[in-house]
Amino acid sequence: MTTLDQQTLAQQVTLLELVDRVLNKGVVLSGDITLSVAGVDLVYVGLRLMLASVGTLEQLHEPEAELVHAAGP
Amino acid sequence: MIHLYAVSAAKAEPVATSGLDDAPVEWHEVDGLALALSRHAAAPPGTEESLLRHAAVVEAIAERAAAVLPARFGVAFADEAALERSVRERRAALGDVLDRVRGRIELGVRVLAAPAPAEPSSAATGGEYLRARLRETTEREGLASAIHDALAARSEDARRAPASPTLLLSAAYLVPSDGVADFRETVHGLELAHPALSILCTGPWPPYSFASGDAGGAS
Repeated sequence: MTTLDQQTLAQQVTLLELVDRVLNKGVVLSGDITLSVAGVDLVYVGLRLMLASVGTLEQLHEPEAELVHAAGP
Repeated sequence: MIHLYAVSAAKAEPVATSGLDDAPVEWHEVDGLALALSRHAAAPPGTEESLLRHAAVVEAIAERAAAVLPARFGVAFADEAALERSVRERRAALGDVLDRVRGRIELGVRVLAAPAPAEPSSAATGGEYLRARLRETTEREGLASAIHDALAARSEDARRAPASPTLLLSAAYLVPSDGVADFRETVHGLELAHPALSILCTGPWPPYSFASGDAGGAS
């Protein structure tokens, strides 16, 4: 892997890790859900377009179990 | 509608970073906790811009506050009364989790394995093929656990997410703010020990993965 690839990969991982944290982690207080599980999926679709390499995202993405777990507070 | 960014133990300085839709970020105190929030006419949409803005505000708060719990995106509160009710319901638990993350940050690690080589036709029977695949899966799982254990030993708490055939390990580690260099050194050592793997370490992050207070490993 070249240094440039390595850099691109690092940037993509950082972006993916950020989105995963904001959407799936963090403290949940009981309020009105404004972003449904379907909405979360749409964000990932958008993210897929943003990332240079779809293969990278698919390789990096955790299995769906993560989202299922995240659905419950 | 109220959008919540983070819960903090003490009122931090005013947040200079503006919030979603450029709304100002305010502090609101409830039972000794400080809540960073912004007010909106409608629920903020789940766009990339909103997510990045939410994250930037949390980051700005975490830079100054010793203890902060980032809020998950996608939950809104009708008004202050609704928000206060939710906080009071969980007041004791929030205090405990804030104590646990005080002075600590989160580091993320993803370990990527090269895709498994296409199975050579040397496996004469279906049984041999299955045994070979099983052996391979077991080896990968062992390797992931060894790496996780080495990193967990350098941290105070850890969360491990489900893996996949190429994503050997995806985990978050809670590390004292002054322990980041040690942790990264351990990561570097693991990289040298396992040249076939890509080990990617991100952060420091505000402690998103530890903010819900679930027991370690139950993530």
